[in-house]
Amino acid sequence: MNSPDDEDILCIQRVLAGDREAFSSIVSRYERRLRSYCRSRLPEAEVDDTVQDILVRAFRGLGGFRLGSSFSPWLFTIAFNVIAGRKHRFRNEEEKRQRIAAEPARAFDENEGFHLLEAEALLSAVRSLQGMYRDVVEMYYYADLGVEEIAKVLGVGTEAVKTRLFRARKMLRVALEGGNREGSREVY
Amino acid sequence: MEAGCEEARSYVLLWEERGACPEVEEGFGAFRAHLSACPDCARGFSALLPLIERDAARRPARPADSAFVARVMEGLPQAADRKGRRPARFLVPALAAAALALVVLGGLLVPRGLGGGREVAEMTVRFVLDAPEASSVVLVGDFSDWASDDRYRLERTASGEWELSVKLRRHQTYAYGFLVDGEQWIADPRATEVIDDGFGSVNSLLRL
Repeated sequence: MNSPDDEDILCIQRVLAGDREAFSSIVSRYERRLRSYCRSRLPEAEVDDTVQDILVRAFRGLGGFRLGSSFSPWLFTIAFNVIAGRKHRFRNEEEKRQRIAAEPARAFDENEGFHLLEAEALLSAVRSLQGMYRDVVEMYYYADLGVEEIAKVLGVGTEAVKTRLFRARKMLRVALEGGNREGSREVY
Repeated sequence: MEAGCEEARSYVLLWEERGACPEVEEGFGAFRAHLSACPDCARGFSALLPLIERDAARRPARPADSAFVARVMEGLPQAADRKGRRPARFLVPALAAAALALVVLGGLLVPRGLGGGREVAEMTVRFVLDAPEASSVVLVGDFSDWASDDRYRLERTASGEWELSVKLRRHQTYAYGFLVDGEQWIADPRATEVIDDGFGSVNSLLRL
């Protein structure tokens, strides 16, 4: 049985050999992860366009992908930078906050239940993290990248990623537990 | 606090400390069942469940949105760009990436003011990279002829960031990246634009 990495490589080889439709497997495999990642960083109205933009850029640049390497970090490096570009289109942070706040609240989806990563309180807590912690949380928990993959995207060591994840988990737990339950205040 | 509540909190603290591990996987079912029965713990911990599920390997795979997949496929160019395929393994990866970017961007380096008699002014640009574990960071780009030049070595700040201010000419577009610890090439995470480097990564673009 092929690993996900092997399946990615097989698809890419087929695309590069001229089978354009083979890219649909890549799109299917990464669409949810890219969407979840984008939702953590952008207003909902921007998500569809951004995911499509990332996938089109990846398709265009596929010839430059080194087949011996892992596809996820390559794709999410593109995603990271495309999102950074889109965020700069907001004139300032205040405008971004207003755009996000103005979005209608999404109804709770019984089918997805607790799997809605964009749940209001959690997303708000993640967005309030300092950049270095927010980046790893979004890549690990929203984009589903592994520690080594995140290290490649950010250009840091795996131990640094693990340390940031640990500290971020603590900050999120303190923020969410303290905000939702009486008598559970902690300082980190 | 009741015994079940104490166990639930211990489980969350275990998750907080260790993230993905067999113990978090094994304890998830009981923890999830307790939240269903205990409103107080549910208020405290439910918001964390999507994160804990990931580390407990309990996040179910969700099918792709087939309509969206079809829309993406319709919007793709007819063929992927194959021109970047070359035997990069014979080159130092960072330099290989840089060399291709230089070729790709060669045409963009002409000042827009040329021919108009307008003076091209310089401006100071501050480059920042958040890499507290790095031992060295060098800014590499068009302006340094893609060489690791000590004049473009970033300084570490007290907060663990690396920074460097560089004077660059206005009305030009620069491609660049960071060389971390002398061997790892990364694009600028804060860059607003990128360009594929043709070797499995991207370079950052800066328009002044």
